[in-house]
Amino acid sequence: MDVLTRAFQGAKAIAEGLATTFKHVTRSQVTIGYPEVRSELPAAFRGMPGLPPDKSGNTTCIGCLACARVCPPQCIFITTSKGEDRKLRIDDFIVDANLCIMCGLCEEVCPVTSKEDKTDYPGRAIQLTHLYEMSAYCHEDLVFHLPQLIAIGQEFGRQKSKDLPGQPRTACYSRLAVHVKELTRG
Amino acid sequence: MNLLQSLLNLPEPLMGAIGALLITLGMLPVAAMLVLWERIFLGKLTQRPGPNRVGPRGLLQTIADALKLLTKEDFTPKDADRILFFLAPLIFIVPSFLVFAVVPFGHFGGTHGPVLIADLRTGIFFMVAVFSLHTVGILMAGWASNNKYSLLGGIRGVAQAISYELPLIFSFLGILILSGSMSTVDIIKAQGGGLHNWFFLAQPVAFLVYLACSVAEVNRVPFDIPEAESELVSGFNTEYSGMRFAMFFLAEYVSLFATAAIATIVFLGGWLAPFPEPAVITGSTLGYFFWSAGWFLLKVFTLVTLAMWVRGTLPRLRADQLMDFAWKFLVPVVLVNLFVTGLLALWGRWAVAGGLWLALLLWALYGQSRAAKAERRQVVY
Repeated sequence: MDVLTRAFQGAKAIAEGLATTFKHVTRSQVTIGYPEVRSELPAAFRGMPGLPPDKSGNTTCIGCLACARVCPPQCIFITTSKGEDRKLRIDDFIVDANLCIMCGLCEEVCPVTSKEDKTDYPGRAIQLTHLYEMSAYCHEDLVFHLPQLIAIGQEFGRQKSKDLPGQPRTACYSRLAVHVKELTRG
Repeated sequence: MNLLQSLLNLPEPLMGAIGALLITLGMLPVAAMLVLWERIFLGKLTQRPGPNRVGPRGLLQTIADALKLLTKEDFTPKDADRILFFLAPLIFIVPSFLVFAVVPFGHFGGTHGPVLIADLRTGIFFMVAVFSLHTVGILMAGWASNNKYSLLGGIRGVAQAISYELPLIFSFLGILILSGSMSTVDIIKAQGGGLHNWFFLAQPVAFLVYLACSVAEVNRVPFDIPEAESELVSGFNTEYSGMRFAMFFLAEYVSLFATAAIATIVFLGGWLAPFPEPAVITGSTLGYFFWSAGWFLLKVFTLVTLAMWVRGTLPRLRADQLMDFAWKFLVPVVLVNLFVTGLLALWGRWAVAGGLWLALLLWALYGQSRAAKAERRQVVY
């Protein structure tokens, strides 16, 4: 390979490189300016776990503790008591978001189902929601109790039967995150 | 400054001082604008938005950066050579401004003369001589920092400057043969009459060599081994912070502007429009000033953008590849270019241009066939 050929190849490579980079000037940008613009989340996005309520606003959890047992970082704590009608009552349901790794095993193992819900894990009592903005000023703020988890499930949960898997769904929601935080403080 | 001189009627040293002040003050916003444009353009090349936070559409970003640098602590390392450490940024920044003493930014039309501080008879020589001074600043900064990475950066900077100055100066020699003068004004006047008279057509090889060498002169990618981030932290300016780092940064962009201005003067006809200028514009003094300055700045801006485009495209060279490229390729090429130009100059400018373009064409055909052959051979094995 002589000097002239190498020089030619170099010049050709530089010209090709310049052409390639120039092509990108004409393309639209890939950056999404996050706080102002939000990307569309896939339906199966795994965010903070929440407890979507039924029509009366209560959790559908039956207190079997399957999720608390399967949870790899052991961040779910459930306290139950037996009511007068001999049914289990959920006294408190705690998800420690400091520990949660959002793996979705709790959702997978939950025995509660619903027929009208056509998602991958239909009508589970605990579901991974689309909430992903969870900054807080202290660790205590990230320990979510039953009412807050119901609120999270209500506001950010996958909507039953409307939201089929694979369909993108826009996440909103710093306004709602603030709302959840207020609940937490109270 | 013929016209201004006759209007203001001040002694020549005072006019020079005023010009120097104007250049120094004028280059600060220009450098800020170039930094901003570089960031926007690199963003476009990589499909990013670029700066978009400070001010409308991010236009005040460089002002915010400058304020940040000015208010930062100006730190001197414990065992640094304090005097040299203080002097290095100054020695680095002054030559980039000095170059503009002989840069004609425009023309007042007719006999009013060009807009420049000093029309030296050795204009190009002055430019090259002054411009190579900032190498001293690089070595000084590297040595005074008492940091082995900085010193390595400084030494690399000197090695690179020595290697690339030679082809850079030699690429001008063909032009000097054609124009018969070293004065920047005379060189531009020799290119008058339209695009076909500009020297980049008569000296295509020299133009390409100059573009490569000028990028090396201002230590930009792909020739930025003196400040290679991945190897030397930040090279010769690692230990600098605050105001002094800002001076290095400013000097880099002023130098970029200066090299583009030199290329515009020598190869792209300076303030001249690419077509014969209509008499309406050449007749009015102020009108021709804005017309000519506009063309000059447009050409400079195009060349600066080309340098940024190259920065967004090519990876950094290794130090030994850099030396190879300068000594084994660029120097022989400019020597041959000078030899051919000298021979053909006997038969006129058109012969020079034709001969050099023919040589380029033959080289491209030859290279293409050899490269194709080499590719075929690889497939067979």
